[in-house]
Amino acid sequence: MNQKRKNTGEGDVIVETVSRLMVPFIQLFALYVIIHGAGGPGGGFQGGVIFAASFILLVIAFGIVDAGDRFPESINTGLFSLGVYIYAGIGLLCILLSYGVAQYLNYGFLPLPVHFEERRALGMDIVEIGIGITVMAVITSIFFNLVWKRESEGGREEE
Amino acid sequence: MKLISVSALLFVILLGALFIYVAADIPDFGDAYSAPNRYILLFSMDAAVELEDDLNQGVIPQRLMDKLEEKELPLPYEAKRGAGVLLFSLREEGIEEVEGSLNKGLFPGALKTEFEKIGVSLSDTVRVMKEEEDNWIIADKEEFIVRKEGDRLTIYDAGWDLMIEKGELYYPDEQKYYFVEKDGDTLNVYRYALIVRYIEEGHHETEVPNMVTYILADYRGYDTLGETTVIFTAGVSVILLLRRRARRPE
Repeated sequence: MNQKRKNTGEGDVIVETVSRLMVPFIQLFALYVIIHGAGGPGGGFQGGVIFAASFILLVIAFGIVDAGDRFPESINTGLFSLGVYIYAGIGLLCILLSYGVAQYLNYGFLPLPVHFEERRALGMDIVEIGIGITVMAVITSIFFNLVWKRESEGGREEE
Repeated sequence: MKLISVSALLFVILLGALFIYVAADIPDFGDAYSAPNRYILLFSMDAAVELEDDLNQGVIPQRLMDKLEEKELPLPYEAKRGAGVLLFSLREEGIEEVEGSLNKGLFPGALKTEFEKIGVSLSDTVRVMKEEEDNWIIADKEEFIVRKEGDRLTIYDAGWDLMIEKGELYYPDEQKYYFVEKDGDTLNVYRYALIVRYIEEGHHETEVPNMVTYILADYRGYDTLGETTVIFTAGVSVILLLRRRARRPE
């Protein structure tokens, strides 16, 4: 037990409880910022960073090992490229589904059951989600990798 | 103090001075009607009565066409009377009186004081013409358009919009492209800046109320795709440099 505590952070009950309560709300707010980008301030970049902040809070409260188990690095690496694929794929879909009439990233030709202008708005929303996924994964990965290195080296010094 | 800290301080002061120098030239942020945001001045030419008559009838005068052709610009085919820079708007209680005297062809005194506030002094021989419903023209050395928009009267600089044809320059519809304005004895020809199209048409074209979002994700979609790729590349570089496999602390 004592050994586990040493590797998994402070183990403070208040910090753990508060962050366990806060994380869902931070993530919900991040999703709100991404989706709300069309109607007000916000968008993919900002929402992605807020989402990444919730994982950083997890690392601060539970330590790198527990947080890493909750959000494995292998999935994170996949999410890196998933966001860019969504963005570039939407652009390519516009060309393919209009049989070559539309230009790349012309969202008006997506096969959605609304009229031209509204398709552009929905296409923008999908693209913002892609941006959000990439930004979230990259910021989280940078933080995890920096912290991981430091903790593993510190652990070896103790031995 | 060390030499390096002194030089760092000087560098920061230099950067600050440079920033202030650059920022002094930036137009007021968010002011859609400031001249640098709205128009690009192409050239000026001497005004003549027959030019104005042609423009009022919707015909492009040959001299103007020649000049545009000389500069290898796209040629317009129709002129329409259009509103330029927004000068001011009236929304007090007394606008019914102002409207009434405009309808009778008289120049109201309330408008004259408002014009003096922005530094335009009009002579006594001002003519008021009713163009359409809720649309008047005040003609003096310069011309102004008064429009009723909702519960207020808005006064614009008057001019002519020159339209280019459908299909020219990849525009899917006919499009206003030049703006001609009479300024004393000269006729200034402006081109609408691209940002004017974003501001005026973006909301109808994309159904998104937020101007920042539709420019970022739609009109400048390629740019944002590139930005996302830059962030992706940063993440990949961090993985290559920092990730250590199988170094999990036991």
